[in-house]
Amino acid sequence: MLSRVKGIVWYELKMRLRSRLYWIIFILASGFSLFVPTPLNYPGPEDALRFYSDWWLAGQTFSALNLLMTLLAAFLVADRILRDSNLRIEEIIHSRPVSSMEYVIAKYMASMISLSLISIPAIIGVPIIKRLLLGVEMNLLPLLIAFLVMYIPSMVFVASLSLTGTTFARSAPAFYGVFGIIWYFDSVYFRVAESTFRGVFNFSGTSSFQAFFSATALGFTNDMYLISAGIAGLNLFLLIMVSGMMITALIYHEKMRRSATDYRIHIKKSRQ
Amino acid sequence: MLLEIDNVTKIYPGGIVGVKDISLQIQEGMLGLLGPNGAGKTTLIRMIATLLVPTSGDIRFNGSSVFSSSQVIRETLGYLPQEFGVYPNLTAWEFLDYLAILDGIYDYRSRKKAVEHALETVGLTSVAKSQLKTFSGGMKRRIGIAQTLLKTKHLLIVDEPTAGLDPEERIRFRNLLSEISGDRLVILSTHIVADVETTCNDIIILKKGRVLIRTKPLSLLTDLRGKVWETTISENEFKGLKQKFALITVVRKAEGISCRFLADEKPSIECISVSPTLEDAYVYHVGEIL
Repeated sequence: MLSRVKGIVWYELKMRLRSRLYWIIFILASGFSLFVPTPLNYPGPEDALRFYSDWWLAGQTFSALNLLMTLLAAFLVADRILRDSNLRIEEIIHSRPVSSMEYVIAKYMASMISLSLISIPAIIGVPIIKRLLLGVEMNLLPLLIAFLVMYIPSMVFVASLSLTGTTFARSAPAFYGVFGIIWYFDSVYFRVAESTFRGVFNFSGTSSFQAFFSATALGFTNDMYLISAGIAGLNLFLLIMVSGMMITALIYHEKMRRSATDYRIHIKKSRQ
Repeated sequence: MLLEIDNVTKIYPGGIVGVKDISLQIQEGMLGLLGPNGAGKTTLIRMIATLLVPTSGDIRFNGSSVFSSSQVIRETLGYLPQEFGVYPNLTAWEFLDYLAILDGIYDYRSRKKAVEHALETVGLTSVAKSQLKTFSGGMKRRIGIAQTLLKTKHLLIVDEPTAGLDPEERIRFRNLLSEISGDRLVILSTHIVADVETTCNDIIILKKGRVLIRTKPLSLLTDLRGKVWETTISENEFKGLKQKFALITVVRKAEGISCRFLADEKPSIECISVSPTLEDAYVYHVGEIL
């Protein structure tokens, strides 16, 4: 099973990296995440001071990256399964001994790897910018933690929602329309989690940001509602759990489409 | 090798009958599945390929139900669907390598050998490194055949493989299918009679979801001897002929209209009996007339 999954992931990635859209989003996201946290955007003395904090800078970088990528990830990932149907490849895949679980998990993993690669310029670039502008070394740990608690959970959720939503709706544009509205309310309209409820239910990474990386959390001016680490943890748990449920539903959906389960139901009915 | 189709019926939502009460036993060799559009060929083929479930009945390959043991059957199944696509950004080699992985060939050397062999068989070795988006329709069809050859498949199913191909590609494709049939069970579904005429040793004609006839090509021709006629007539005579008989070909010439038609007995007009072809036999049984 692992070898087959590995093979699908490899070729899915290859196709993804050959797509122009991927590189446009890669450049856009890299530029955005590198530009937003620089002192050019925060000219005040206190902001410059924050810039010295590796934790604040890491949080700000991934906050910017998340704002963009929670939207654009959907465009990169959504049609990965539907595309096989649109390209008329689905039947030759389904007539092979590849299980629905292998197929869906491999597609999902490839999506996650391609989305993760987009954060590399930020992880490498921000320390370089800081060194160039301030002449001080940046500790990489906050960036890696921000990557793990802000970027990855958001991408896990958006990727599973996009793959599942589009496959169920059988239409990528329809999904983009609905997702665009969800994204607007989650990441723009309610950008800052101002209550415990909002802290628990969001996929923009704002809970982790407010709990671990915000100026408030780091002891600067109180400019943001402070989310407790427990609430942020609950948010992460819910994102991962809901994503897991969506992927499980997708695997079941794909399995049903391949008819084997359906067949037994038919046989039963015909015998009655 | 034995494929058993046991009282299979497929009724689509809305009550549309795909196939009805089909029972067949098919052994190794090349079987031509003929029938007009909508006869149920693709429905039957998709059920054999484990892609569609029957409303009732069962299909067994070497004793195992293709539905309850679908993963096992898929190990030995090669399928080229009617509408076949490719990943445009992959090269021919990469695409086949990808499908070889799905077939369970994990060892790189074995996979390389399998892909090279498949490409060589379909004559695409020289374009192995070209992206599939640059391929013509015929070349993509050959890639379609190549993907069925990656692993030793005992059951090959090809659905309308020559549709949309130019005559040269069609001949090449037919020869290719004959070459690879060997000791496999190959099912060739088509509505183009010439495709089965040159390749198949067994023919099934489907009409309206049922098996109309199952026979050998030669028997089909023998049955039709003395029933195919040719004549050259005037416009007025043609109108009468058209109403009475099933026309197979009509060619307008300077001396009149040259017609080939079916009639159980010699008609009253001046005409000559000619040797039947499989196309004549198909028209005779299916009743699709000009």
